[in-house]
Amino acid sequence: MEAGELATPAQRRTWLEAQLQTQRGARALRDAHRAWLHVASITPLSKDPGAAPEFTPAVVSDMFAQFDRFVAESFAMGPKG
Amino acid sequence: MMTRAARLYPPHSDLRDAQREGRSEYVPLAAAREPRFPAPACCRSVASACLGIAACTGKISEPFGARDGDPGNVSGVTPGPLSPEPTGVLNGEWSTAPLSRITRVQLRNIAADVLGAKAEISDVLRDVQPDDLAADTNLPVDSYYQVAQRLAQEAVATGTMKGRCSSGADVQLCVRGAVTEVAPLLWHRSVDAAEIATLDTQVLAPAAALGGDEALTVGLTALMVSPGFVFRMEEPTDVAGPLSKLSSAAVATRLSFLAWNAGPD
Repeated sequence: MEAGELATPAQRRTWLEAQLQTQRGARALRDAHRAWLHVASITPLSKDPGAAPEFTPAVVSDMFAQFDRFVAESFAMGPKG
Repeated sequence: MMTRAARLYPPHSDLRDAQREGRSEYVPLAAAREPRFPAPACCRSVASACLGIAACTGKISEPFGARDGDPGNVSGVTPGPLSPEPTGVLNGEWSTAPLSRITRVQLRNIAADVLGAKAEISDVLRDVQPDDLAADTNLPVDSYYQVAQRLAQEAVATGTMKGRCSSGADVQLCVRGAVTEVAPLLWHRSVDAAEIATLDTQVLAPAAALGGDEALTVGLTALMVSPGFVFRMEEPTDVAGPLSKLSSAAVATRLSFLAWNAGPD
């Protein structure tokens, strides 16, 4: 890090946006949205297999993956996407 | 003698002066870096010092308000007793937040990024309770030490440090090289040669007799029970006065914690 490289708001914005485009940035966005929407609290959710036979662990896993991809896609497209 | 708290936080008069002059944010100065390295036998006492400070400011908690009723640490920043109201985190002038402790998620992220260690730690990482200090208990210290040890063991067994010092004649030299490499990443700031030399003398030299993998585990554990890991100690550009601008590296670290919820690479 060179002195002055992050001296102005524009420089810091550029730096920050570059960081958000990385895998670590995607992870942070995912974790933030999971926590914000209390996703962890519904992780152990289960339903009566007799009443909802299609609600399998695989479906639950897919739903969480879908959530993560939605967050990633939303930020990738930006506000006008 | 100046107390530790007085060295960590600017005195009230400085705070009033800064507010009067429109400088509403502080940065903790170099005194916040002490103590620097624990010897193996001293790891727990240093961790105790960390957790003692931690107990004064809140919990080692999840960020983003993950738990109901958790009053703070939403961004990992725990305001100290003399913290002024922040008016902007990155205004390019002055820093707020006297001393920030990393959150559980940040701890996991850093361990995964730097060491490739992803072990579950929630079963041993215990919140510091308000009564812990009065109760004279070692439970929080033991808890934190176990976390550091578990992550270090995983790093050496299967993570980024796997096989790093398993063979070779000079164990201490190898471990010192590995520790020197990861210390800035684990401490979220630059680490100078004197700090490495102290660590070498107090921790790595005694541990060298244990063999490469074990000695490396001890060294990594020492890094992770250090206040340098537990707290985000920001580097000022001027250590002469009570106030200082953040260094570019410190600003970069703030941005990394904002964007990545982890330290810079």
